[in-house]
Amino acid sequence: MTVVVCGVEELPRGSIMTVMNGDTPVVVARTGAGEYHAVRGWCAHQGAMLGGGRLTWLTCEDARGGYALSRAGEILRCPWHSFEYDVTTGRCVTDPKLRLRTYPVRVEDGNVLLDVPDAT
Amino acid sequence: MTQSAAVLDHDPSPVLDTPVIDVDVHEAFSSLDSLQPYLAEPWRELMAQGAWKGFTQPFIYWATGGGNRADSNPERGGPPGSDPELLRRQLLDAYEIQAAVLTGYFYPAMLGDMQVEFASAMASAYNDYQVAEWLAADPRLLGSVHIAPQDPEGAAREIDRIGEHEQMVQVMLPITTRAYGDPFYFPIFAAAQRRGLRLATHHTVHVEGALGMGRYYIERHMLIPQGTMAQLVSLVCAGVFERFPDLRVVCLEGGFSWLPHLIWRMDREWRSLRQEVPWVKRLPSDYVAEKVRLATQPVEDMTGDQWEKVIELMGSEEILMFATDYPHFDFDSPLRSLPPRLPQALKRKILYDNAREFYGLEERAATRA
Ligand code: FES
Repeated sequence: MTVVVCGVEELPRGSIMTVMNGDTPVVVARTGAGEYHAVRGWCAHQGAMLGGGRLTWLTCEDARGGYALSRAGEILRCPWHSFEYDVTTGRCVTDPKLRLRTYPVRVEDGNVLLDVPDAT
Repeated sequence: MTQSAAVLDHDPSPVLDTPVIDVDVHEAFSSLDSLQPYLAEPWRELMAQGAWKGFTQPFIYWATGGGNRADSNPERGGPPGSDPELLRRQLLDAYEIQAAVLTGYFYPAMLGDMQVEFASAMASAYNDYQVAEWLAADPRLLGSVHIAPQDPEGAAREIDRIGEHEQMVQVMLPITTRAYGDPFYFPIFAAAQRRGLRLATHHTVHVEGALGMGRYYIERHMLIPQGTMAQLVSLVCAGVFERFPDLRVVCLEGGFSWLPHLIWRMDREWRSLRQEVPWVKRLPSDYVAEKVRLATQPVEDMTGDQWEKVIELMGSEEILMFATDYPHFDFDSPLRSLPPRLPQALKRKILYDNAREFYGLEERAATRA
């Protein structure tokens, strides 16, 4: 089923929006580069609602042993224990066993559209 | 398909098949001003002048919501944990919690050794605030008596003053940098025993590991259990459990999977060196089994088999008591923090029975009826 999430202007770069597919939340994210991604909204760790979390960057070490920030708005951090998910793949950055289902998102006629399985 | 303003904040599966008691819930005031109505003079006037600004932590928090769940900010403003209505919704009602023990996070112990009268006055004000604005708000909430342990006589008076409130179940022993086995603190234990209250240890932002706080917040957070272990060793070796035979202690938020190591170690050392501490009359592990409980939060991500193994090594299924630590960021979900494979009877002990026994909730209910 394809659903209209919102108008493109309602989801600025670096922000997220939660939509419900039946009882299942889907978090739609727009990255810093402007791409759209969607993941299942329950954290695979202890089940927090990821829509209450934050979209952030990937934090790595730079050449001088300091902080290197990249991929702005591609990492979704859980509101509880702060595990990090890559919204482009649904994978948890630190635990390969934890993975969120992803859904296709596209833009048509100024609207953000999401393809989700029919809610039962 | 709907866009949601008020979506459920957690995955409601699996269905919880046991009742729950939560032994560590951090209520908070909206601001220091909340204490004003309960503060005695001259402190009230001094505080009104802004003569003290409250505690801060000597580090920056790194979790998504700082030190708290990022989804726990009250709509009405104020810090997480400061809105009884939201706490009810996100915790008590969301998980059908039967009883929740409030443990605060405003610990006058952190004022240190100066001006102990001020520290004790702040503890009193906090207790009256807790009674009026929290315990009165919901009968499921149980209270902790806050004290300034650096003022043991004042603390004992405070325990006598407020400890008989029917929802008060324990005295908080915040962990800073001093060990509670020092006889200096015995008036506190005498008062707690007199009032039939339990003791609860909980770290403060001043707790250190053996080599200090660490260079990073993550280190400090990893080191917190050391403070708990040190307090337990101190209480046992000072003979506190012999001198105050009715005292029982819960160690909050200090981990639990280290317990097998510690009891083996203490027992071995006692067999070798007990002459030095003849007031320790039994195996340390006996005192632990009888008098000490450990809260589960923050759980480590162990498998069901690992949980069972650790509990077996502890030698008792009665030691662990479930806690969420709401609203802090390392909150443990009653639905998901214990592995689904844990045997039902054991799960029920951890989530409910052990705390019910420890706090004597059955007897309390009977007295009230
Ligand atoms: S529930 Fe999301 S990180 Fe634990």
